[in-house]
This record gives sequence, structure tokens and C-alpha cells, in this order.
Amino acid sequence: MKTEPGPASVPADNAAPYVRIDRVSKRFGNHAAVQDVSLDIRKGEIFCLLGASGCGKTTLLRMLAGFETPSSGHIWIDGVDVTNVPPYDRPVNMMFQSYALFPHLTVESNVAFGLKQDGLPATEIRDRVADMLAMVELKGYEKRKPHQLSGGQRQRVALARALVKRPKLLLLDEPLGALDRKLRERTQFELVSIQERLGVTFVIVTHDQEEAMTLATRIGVMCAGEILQVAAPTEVYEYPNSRFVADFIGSVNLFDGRLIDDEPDHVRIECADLKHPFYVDHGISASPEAQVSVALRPEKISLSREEPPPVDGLNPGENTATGVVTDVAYLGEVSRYLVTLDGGRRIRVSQPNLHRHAERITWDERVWLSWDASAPVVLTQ
Amino acid sequence: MNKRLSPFVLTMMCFGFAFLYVPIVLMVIYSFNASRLVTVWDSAHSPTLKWYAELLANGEILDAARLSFRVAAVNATGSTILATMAAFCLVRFGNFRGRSLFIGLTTAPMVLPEVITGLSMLLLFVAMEQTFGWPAGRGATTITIAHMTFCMAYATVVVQARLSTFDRSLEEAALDLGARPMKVFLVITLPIIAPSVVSAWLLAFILSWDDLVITSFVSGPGSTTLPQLIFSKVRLGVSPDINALATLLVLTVTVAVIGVGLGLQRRERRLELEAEAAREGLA
Amino acid sequence: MSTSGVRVSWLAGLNLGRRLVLGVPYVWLALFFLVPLLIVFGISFSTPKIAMPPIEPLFTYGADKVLQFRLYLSNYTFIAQDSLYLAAFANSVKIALVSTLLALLLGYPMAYGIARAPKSWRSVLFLLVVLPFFTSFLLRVYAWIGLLSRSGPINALLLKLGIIHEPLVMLQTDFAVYLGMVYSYLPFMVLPLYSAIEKLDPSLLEAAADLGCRPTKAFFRVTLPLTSEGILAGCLLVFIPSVGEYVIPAVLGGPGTLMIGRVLWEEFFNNRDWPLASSVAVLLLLLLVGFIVVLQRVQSREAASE
Repeated sequence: MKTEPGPASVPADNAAPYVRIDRVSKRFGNHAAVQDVSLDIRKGEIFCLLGASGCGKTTLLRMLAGFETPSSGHIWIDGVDVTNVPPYDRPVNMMFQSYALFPHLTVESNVAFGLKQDGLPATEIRDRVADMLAMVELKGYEKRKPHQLSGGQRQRVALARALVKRPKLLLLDEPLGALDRKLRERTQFELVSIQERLGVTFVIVTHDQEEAMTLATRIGVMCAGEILQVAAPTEVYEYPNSRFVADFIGSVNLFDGRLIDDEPDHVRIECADLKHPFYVDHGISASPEAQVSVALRPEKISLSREEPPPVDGLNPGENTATGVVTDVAYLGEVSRYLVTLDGGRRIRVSQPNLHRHAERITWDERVWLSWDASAPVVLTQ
Repeated sequence: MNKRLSPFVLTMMCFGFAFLYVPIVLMVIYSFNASRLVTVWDSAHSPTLKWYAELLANGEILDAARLSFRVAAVNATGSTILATMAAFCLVRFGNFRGRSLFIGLTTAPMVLPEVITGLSMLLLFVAMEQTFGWPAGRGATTITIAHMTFCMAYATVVVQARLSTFDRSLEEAALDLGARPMKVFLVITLPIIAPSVVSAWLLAFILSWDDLVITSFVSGPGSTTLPQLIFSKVRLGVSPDINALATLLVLTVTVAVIGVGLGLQRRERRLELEAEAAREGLA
Repeated sequence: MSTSGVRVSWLAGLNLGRRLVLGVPYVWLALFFLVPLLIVFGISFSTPKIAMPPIEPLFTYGADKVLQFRLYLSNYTFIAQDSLYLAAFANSVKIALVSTLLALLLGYPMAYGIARAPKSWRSVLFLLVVLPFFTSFLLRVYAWIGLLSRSGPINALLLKLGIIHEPLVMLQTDFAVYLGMVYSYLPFMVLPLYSAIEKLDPSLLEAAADLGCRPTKAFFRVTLPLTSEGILAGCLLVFIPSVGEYVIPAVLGGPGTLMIGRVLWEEFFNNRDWPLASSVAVLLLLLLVGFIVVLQRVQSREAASE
């Protein structure tokens, strides 16, 4: 899933936190929008808050911007407690989901607005606005009004306006949400390259996991006002720490099981849906006989008409299953299968279409499913 | 779908518009009639402008018009400011204490019969004069206060309608870029809602300019507004200089409304064209 | 600047501004709208006195320096006993109801026609409906005096066509009042109807036709029920100002055209009986409030049943 361009300058893990969110909660009446969130964001990274709508990610962003005051907890930016600093005094700028371009001002005046509030000399304002417009490739559009621009151009004006003040932190609320698919892909790359050039710390809120995976240095997955996992995109995908994260990011098959063999270098998990146990090639920290979940990504399963050869160290039948293809969707790069196992459980499998003329597995065929001992992720929570 | 209107609907439309406009058109025509008997067309000497000349020489009418204009302008300004504040409270302040009473107070003046509004205002002014000695007597001040109170209700509706569709992220963006709340209001909010504020001002002006009943209660001997003067003449029957006056007023308003209407339409079309151009530029 | 200092200025400043923005219109409306109504209510329990103001105060200091509070119910008993007031109330409601109905019958087809007219025409027709609203109400009522008079154009036309042989007496009759009401308040009827009809999805009528409903039936089964909110709004906008109307009966009506607004006016200006005028105002207010409350009940019951 994780594709180029990733930000080249991934900061070292031990870098001091630049933004520190310390036990922040926000309640609206009886509803707790954000609950006891603690989070460190490093200088120069692109941090993505990912979650479904209503999970509290926008509230958290608005607290960083200063539009909401936390009900409890503190926020530090670059060593300064900004918890109660009003938005106009924060070294933070925001790019709004709707872009919020001032409709009565030209592109130039929109970008210059923030600098004018700081009372900078006119010549400096002019130069900085011109530089910024050149960077977002909007030279020649200075005198236009927002309604005379296309969606992509508006997005770039909003970006320029938020960046021109050289904020310590740039907040982006669904930055690509209003763009169509083609433009999104191009803009993602532009956004990352601008961030690299300026070295500004980005905090992005999005509900789109693909966007988060593409842009983020690290992702914080949010649900019901809490942060469930903070990790690099590959880690969030390959090593989700909970059923929710595994299910939320990408597609997954989840099994409920019981730990039957717990060794330092491997575990076996028995599962009602499968005839044979899962064999997982790493140890986990859980009590013997514990109830656990196993997550298995569709693309980690291979499909064949013949029984797969036995694997060293595994008992016969382990990490395999048999079933009948119930549904097939050919998507071009991959095909998605729905396989009904002999026990009745339905499993999602996806297979790359490597060969153009291959005779593909199709409806109602009997198939073998098999997977690597490293593929299953054991979830203890 | 059949786009053509049925003969019944067409007939009713023609009748309706004729009903609305024939009296006005006839009034305009008769303003050029030479005969003092307003309803008899004196074809020998008509059309004539003599009633217009008389009108412009009539000091009483000019004084009344001047007073009406002054009251209407002050009222429109005051009530629009109050209405903008009230609209802000209603749209932005959420569920503050006393909100339902406030809603009631801002809408009731539109429902209350004018005779009651007028009577109650007068009784207030009399009571205030007795207690505080202000306002001393009735005149332009009391008329303006009374007008501001009932015009404010209408103006609030206009501004409130615009504010409730206002994208608040624009204000947040301005705050975020370093502008303080008061400045945000002045350089962002106000310019964007300006058209509705102007509409509210015009509406308040017209309502005040036109008001007879409330004015009659709260005006004093020395202050006669134009509608009051017209009313006293109308009660004596038709007079040709009122026709001339009516023509002038109707003409002014028509030109103004059509001008504003055309302006808005042109603006809308321009915006549409530009938006279209922007879309094409993208493709 | 310390953070806590910033906090105080930012939130306190905002709170102060908020209080000011809310306080000014609130105090204004309370002082110039709510208090006057309470005064009217109070004075309706007083009696006239030859003085300025011509009212017997409710609170007086008696000879024994004791504050006395006296309520007179005489106004209300007088109104209840004199059939003139009851007749005026009844007549006001009748005239307002009939005018509303007439305005609806004329206004609905007009609004329908405008809403279904070609797009280029629509804004022009809409403007034509709004325009009279901006021209002087008084002068528009006045325009009918000439039209309806004995020697006016209507009588002249009818005489010429031989339909009548004697000029009709139209001015200073109830007929003229109905005419004036419908004429003055027609735009108020057309505007909400127009917006209700314009919002109506034309494909609903196509669906009705597709399912075998003839146009007339489709109108009564689909269009009319779906625009009922517009009808209600229009009727309210016409009925409410009509009930308390003063100008139209005063200018176009005869001496016999009793309407409550006119009665109030005459009690106040001609008889200088402020307390009685106040009682009439209180009763008129109660009538309107009662009407609106009943209407809301009906509406909420309908909403509940749906």
C-alpha cells in the first residue's frame, strides 16, 4: 500500500516533540468529542489524524488551531503552552476543508491577508506573496477572485495563504477532499514536495486512508474521541494493534480464536471457523488459553486449485483452508474473490493478475487457500 | 412535461397583473389631466404638467417630504444596526438565556396590528415624558424611535437569512491568519453580508417612508410626514396634485427597483460566466 | 505577554462584546415594544379624565397618603354591552377571511403561472409582483378612489357598453373595502405561494400523469397538498394585517364599514378615550394571539398525524 513519494526526511524516532498534546479532552455538553488524548508530533513530519467522521479528529485539529479550548489538558507548540492562546496569536495556520477563501478579495489579497495582520511593510508583503504564488504555480492569477478559479487552483490559493506566514505548524482539514480523483493524486505529490521544501510541520485530518498512507510520516488512528494507534503507515497496515485499526485500514479477514500453543518463537491459535489452527512465526505476550483475534489481509492469502506443498515446521493442514469460490470481481490490477470455506465462513482474498492469458479461477471452483506463517497478525485487544 | 400553461392560468395571470397595475397606470395618466375634476379627462388642455409645477411650489408637501426622508434615513440606519446585532444573536449565540423571548420580541412587531403598535408607543412616550421629562412632546424623534422598533423586525429577518447561510470557516480563517474578532467582523463578515445589510436598510427606509398609522399616533402638531399629509388630502377626495405626487413616487421606486434588479441579474450572469470559464480553464 | 493574560483578554473581551451585541437590541425591544404593550394593558383598566394625558392614573395617593391602586373594569363591560364593538370584531374577521380567500383564489393561479413560466420570464414577472409592495401603500389605495368614483373610468366604461344605465355606487361600500384588501395584500399571497410551487419537483406531476392521473386531478392530488405550507403562509400574511387594518376601510369604506382597527382609531383620535382604545387593543391582540395559537395546534396535530 505504501507507495512513493514518502517524505524523504523521516525524522529520527528520538527527535524531541515539537507539538505536545497532553491529556486533552473536549466535551460538548454531555458528548465527549475528544477523550484524554496524548500525542507528540515531531518537527518537520507530516502527521495524519485518520478516522471516520465524528471520531473527534476535527475537534482535535480545531483545538490545535485555537478555535476550541480543551475542557482539560494542555497543548504545547515548540515549548510554549498555547492551550488558551487565541487563534490570532498562535504560530499555527490552517487550510480549511472548504478552503474558506475570502470571496470578496482577490487571490493576491487573500494570500496577503495574514501578513497584513502582522503589520509587515508593503514591499515585504508583496515579495512574499509573489514568491508563494510562484511556488503554488499561480503566477498571473493575482487579480482574480476565488469564484473565477477552478477547484484545484482554489486549493492552491488556500495552501499559499496558510503557508505565507511561515507557521510553525500547518493544519490541513481534509485537504484533498473537494478535488476529483485525478487531481487528488497529482496534488498529493505536490503537497509532499512543498512540505519537504519548506520543512513546515503538517498535521492533516482525513477520513481517506489512501490519502493518509500516501502523505503521512506517521498516522494516528482515531475512534470515538480516542487515539488507538500512532505509527508509520506501513506499521499501521502490517501491524495493527487492535481489531478496529485492522478493520479500518484496508480490508481484512478477522477470526476469533484461542491460544493453544505459546512459544517464544511461534504461537498456534485455534479458530472455530478453520479446520486447522493458525501457525504464527512470532511470539506474543498473552496468557495461555487467551481469547485473541487474528487478522489476515486478503492479499496475503494465495489461492490455488491444487493442495499447496507442506511447509517445514508446520503440522499438515496448518495455515491452509479449503472452500468454494462464491464471487469474483475482476478489477484489472487485482481480482477479488469471496470464498466460502467448508465451515461456512466467507473469506475475502485478492490475487494480483500477473499474467494476461492465465486461466483465472472462477465461480464455483473448489480452491485451496494458504498463507505465510508471517501473514497473520495476532490482536490481543 | 407540457411546458405550456393552461388557458385558465394564463387568464388569471393577465387579470391579476392588470388588477395590480391598471389603477397605478390610470393614476399616472390622470396626473397629466388639466381638469381639476380628476376623473374627467379634459382633452382640450391635456396633457399638462401644471400639477407637477404646483406640487413643486407647494411648501407644505416639500416640508413633509423632507421630514419623511430624514426620518426614513435615520430610522433605516438605526434599525439596520440594531437588526444586524439582533440577527447575530439569533444565528450565532446558540441557546442563550432569554432566547425565546428575544425571538418573540423580534418577530412580534411584524404580526402586531399597526394601530396597536402606534397606540402602545404613544402611551409609552407619554408615560416617559411624565416620569423623566423626555421625550418632550412628540415629533421627529418619537416617530423615528417608533419606526426603528417595527422596521428592526423586518430588517432582522433579512440579515438573519443571510447570516444563517454564512460559512463560518471564513471568519475562522481570518482569526487563524491573525485578525482580531472586531477586525474579522469589519473586514470579512460585514463586506460579505453587505448586500443583505443594504437590502435591510432599503426595506426599513421604504417601510418608514410609507408608514401612516404608527406615525399618526406618535407624531406631534409640528411634524407632519408625507403619508400623513397625503392621507389628510385623500380624505377630502381625489386631488390632481396627489396624482402627480404619486406618479413621481411610483416612478422613482420603479426605476430604483428595476435598476437594482437588473444590476443583480447582470452580476449573477457575470458570476455564472466566470465560474464556467474557470471550469473550462481547468479542462 | 503571559498566557494567562492573553486568556483573560481574549475570552473576557469576547464576552463583553457578546453582552453588548445582545444587550442593545434586547433592551431596545424590551423598552420600546414590550413595556408599551404592558402599559396598554394597564391603561385598559383605567378610565378617561379630562387632562393631559386623559387617563385616570391607576396608582394614586389618597388624602391619607396611602398608595391606592384602582382597577376599572368599566371599559370591558362597556365593550361587552355595546353591540357596536362585537359587530366590529365580527366584521373585521369576516372581511379579513373573505379577502384572504379571494386573494388565494386569484393569487394561486398567478403564482402557479409565474413559477411555471419560461425561465427568462420568471424574474420579470416576479419583479412585477414585488414592485407594488415598494410603492406607497396609501397611494395604491388612493388610486382606487378615482377608479371607483361615480364619474370614474369603470362607471364610464360600463355606461358606454350599455351594461348599466345609472352609475354604480362602489366607493364607500364594503365592496370597495374587499377590493382594496385583495389589491393591497395580493403580493403577500403570491410570494410564498410562488416559492412553494417553484420548489415543487415537476417530475412528480410527470409521475402522476404516467400513473394515469389526469392534469386536473393531479393538481388536486399532488400540487395542492404539497404546496399547503405556502398556502398557509400566504393566508396568514394576508389575514393578519387585514384584521387590524385601518387605512383601507377609512379611505374606501363607508361610514357603516365597521372594522376594529378603525374603531380603535376613532376612540383614540375622535373621542380621546385612551383607556377604551387600550381595551380594544388588548381584545384585538387576544383575538390574534388566540387565532395563531389555534392555528399552531392544528398544524402540530397535522404534523403529528403524518
